[in-house]
Amino acid sequence: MSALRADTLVEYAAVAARDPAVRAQAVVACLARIEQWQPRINAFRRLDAPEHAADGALAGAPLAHKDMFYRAGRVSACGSALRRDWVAAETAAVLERLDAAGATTLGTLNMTEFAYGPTGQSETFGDVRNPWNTAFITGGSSSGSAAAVAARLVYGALGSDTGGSVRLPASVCGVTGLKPTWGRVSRRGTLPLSHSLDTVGPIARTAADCALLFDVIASPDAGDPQNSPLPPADYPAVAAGGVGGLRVGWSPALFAHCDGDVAAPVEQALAALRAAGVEVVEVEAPDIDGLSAHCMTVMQAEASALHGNWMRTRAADYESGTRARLQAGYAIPATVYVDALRHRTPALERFQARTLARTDAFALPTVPVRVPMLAETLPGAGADMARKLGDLTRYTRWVNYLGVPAISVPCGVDGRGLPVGLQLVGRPFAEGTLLALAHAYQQLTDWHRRQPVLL
Amino acid sequence: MTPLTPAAVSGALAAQGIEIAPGRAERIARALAPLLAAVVADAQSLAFDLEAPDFAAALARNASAVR
Repeated sequence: MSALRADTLVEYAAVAARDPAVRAQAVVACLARIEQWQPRINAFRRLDAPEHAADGALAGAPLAHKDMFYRAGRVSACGSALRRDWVAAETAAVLERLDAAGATTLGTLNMTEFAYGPTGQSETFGDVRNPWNTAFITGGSSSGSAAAVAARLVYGALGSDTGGSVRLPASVCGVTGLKPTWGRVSRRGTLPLSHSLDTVGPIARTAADCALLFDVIASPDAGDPQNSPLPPADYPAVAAGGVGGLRVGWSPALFAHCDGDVAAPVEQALAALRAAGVEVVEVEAPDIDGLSAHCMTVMQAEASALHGNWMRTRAADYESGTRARLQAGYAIPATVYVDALRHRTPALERFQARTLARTDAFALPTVPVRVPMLAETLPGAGADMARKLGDLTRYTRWVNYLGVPAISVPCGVDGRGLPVGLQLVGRPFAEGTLLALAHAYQQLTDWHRRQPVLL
Repeated sequence: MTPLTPAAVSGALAAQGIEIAPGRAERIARALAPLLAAVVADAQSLAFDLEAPDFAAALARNASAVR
């Protein structure tokens, strides 16, 4: 893609608008990079024959998506042997919209089985490897999406985020990922995991790229009963509109709980936001661990209910980690599940009234610990493994419980050279504000421009 | 609040036709204990009339004026 002189989706769109011949060149360039990188990182599940690019905001832009967005007549394995040959009968609303905007879909991307796990491992289709160092995890569950974008195999990818599955792999792979407000993006034709928490969001190189993709997929859809009728903004315009007058809150206590080489880059990112004209102030932190516990209760109960028939008849066909997570959900009392849902409204209002009372967004690390090696997170890796896995999503799950939007942007590297992400959490439907803050940050820094090297 | 016992976990899963390996019930009981305790503690402050489906309206009610 360097031959195109377009490292980002926005740059590609500008070049392709002037010269339509660039569309075919971009596909060829991406396919060449896939041929180079796929043996090392296993990001792709399947390559599809590129279809003729249509005109539109994404005319010809090479994309690929997590293998859980259905396309009629094609297999969506959803990372599982249980759906290895399952052919979708409908096309996901988000794919319909990207198609209409002219995007070229190169194929489907590997993922954690049924989007239920934080590491990106797959016993069924092989582990996705981190492009920055293949000994380390990518984060999950949108593992292939983040790895493919980081390695410049595609300009952008869709992921899903139920407890951090867009932001976590985006952070760990050094790219930008947006988790929208619950209900903002249609989930029609996508694999469900936990209907109260599931969201669909873009992963791309920059916040401006995410804004372009989000602008295409974020619009009301009567086909998804939980989709919000609120009109979307002009996200690219809002993202580029500046951050004058915006305030970001942070809580030092949450940084104190992080690995030191993770906290330091995120604190430097706050300094960069100040330099961009954002007022950064200390605020009261939300009860992250309490909210995360409620998130887990809801997610486990809903996911286990969804998988009940297969868990009764084909439990052995699940990967070991997925099966273990699903088993736990059947022991959650129904009244506890309902109370966890009932508590969401007061929890959201408390977050608004306390943490965001004087600010537009709340900043914290996306992942509070340094990126673990793959071997540290495999089944049987030791007694400490469960805690390590829990740490990965400790700073993301609470956001899904509150239903609010959040974005992760690359802001440095940890002591082992793996990427670190700054997470910004906003008010309901304030994706534009988050994109503007992230874009302003990326105007002053170059972490989003750094690329992994093929060794 | 008393945590779930392994026997209660085994019974709940068996009643739903879910089979687990020996020793698994103990691990599930340990893992769920803090989750259930957190919900029960927070439920004490819930208003009687608050229903779970209110959440979608709460998101819209609290929507940012600036998107």
